[in-house]
Amino acid sequence: MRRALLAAAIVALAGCPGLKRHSLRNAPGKLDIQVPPARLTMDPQQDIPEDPGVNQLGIAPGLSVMPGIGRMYGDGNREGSLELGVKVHVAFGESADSGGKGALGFPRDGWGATLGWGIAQFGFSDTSFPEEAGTPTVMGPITLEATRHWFYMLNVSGGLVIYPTPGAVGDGSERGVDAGGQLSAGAGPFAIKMRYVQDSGFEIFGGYQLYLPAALTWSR
Amino acid sequence: MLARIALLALAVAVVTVGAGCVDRMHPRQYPRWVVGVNDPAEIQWRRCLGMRSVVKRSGKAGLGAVLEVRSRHDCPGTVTRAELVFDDGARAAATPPALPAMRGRSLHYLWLPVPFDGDAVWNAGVRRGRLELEVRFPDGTEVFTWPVFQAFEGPWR
Repeated sequence: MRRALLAAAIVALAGCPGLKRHSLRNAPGKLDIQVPPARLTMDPQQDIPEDPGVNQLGIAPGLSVMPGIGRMYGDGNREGSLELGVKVHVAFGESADSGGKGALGFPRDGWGATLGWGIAQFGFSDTSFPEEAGTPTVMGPITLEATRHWFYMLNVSGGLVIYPTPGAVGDGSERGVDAGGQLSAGAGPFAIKMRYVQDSGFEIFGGYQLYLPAALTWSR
Repeated sequence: MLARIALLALAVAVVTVGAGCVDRMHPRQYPRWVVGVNDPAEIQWRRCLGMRSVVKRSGKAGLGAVLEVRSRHDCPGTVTRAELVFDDGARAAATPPALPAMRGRSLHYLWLPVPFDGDAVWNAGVRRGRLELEVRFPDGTEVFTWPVFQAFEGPWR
């Protein structure tokens, strides 16, 4: 049951026709009007145009849950945490085949951008120390990456990352505004991301992501 | 307990997303210019020359029409102007087709390509116009006119 649901979720990641809207911009088809038909008749039946293809704009809001090593510090040492994030991926592509009404609208391959926000990093506290019991939490970073994707579900991204929280608060685990770079990759619901930020240094997370892709298409 | 909640959340997500996946396949269809006369068989007569027109091709590059040209007796004439006049006043000029020699009872078919930016016209919302052919006879000039419009039933069949 669980595997079936997971498989269905992966298929859903490719984009669904009900989440596609086809704009009527550039709606006429493609026909050569200069070369006359082989036989000129008054039959009102028109020649069927060729498919001009479509431009595709994909918009995919997503959710990610990833354990890893982030900004959490406990007792002066880096400790594991679980980062919960949201993001929106925007992708542009073209297709020579605009397909039927039921065709997928999300670009199969293309370039785009991904804006993300790690809502929170929940620390894995060392409960062997009573004074550290509980779950410390810090705000995650905001990221902006350029993204290249293939076959709907494979993607790599690279870009900027910044922890926007100003100044140290609480136990000092939030270490203020911190900027750096991020590389990430994903395959369907699985994803990994690596960061290097100026204060906390190297960070790595790996886990799950789920997108709800929608698309706007219009004729080329 | 946590695993059950996660499974339930996944099921809800799949069902939500899956709701958008149920659809039947429908092929694309495109807007097309058609001649908007009540009786397609009706022949317009100007002096000794009769004409009918039907649009055979319509697309981004413009339209292509077939002209049926007939005469009842010798009828010398020359097409001096051929153009599509859109309702917004814009005009798309075509190369005037060469009329063959109309001797006696003649019947000929001509191809008339009218090039224009079909995308721009469609995007501008222009849906109607008229196809005009000006023919010069030895004793005067006449204009054949056919109303045309863009037919479109929707992007998918």
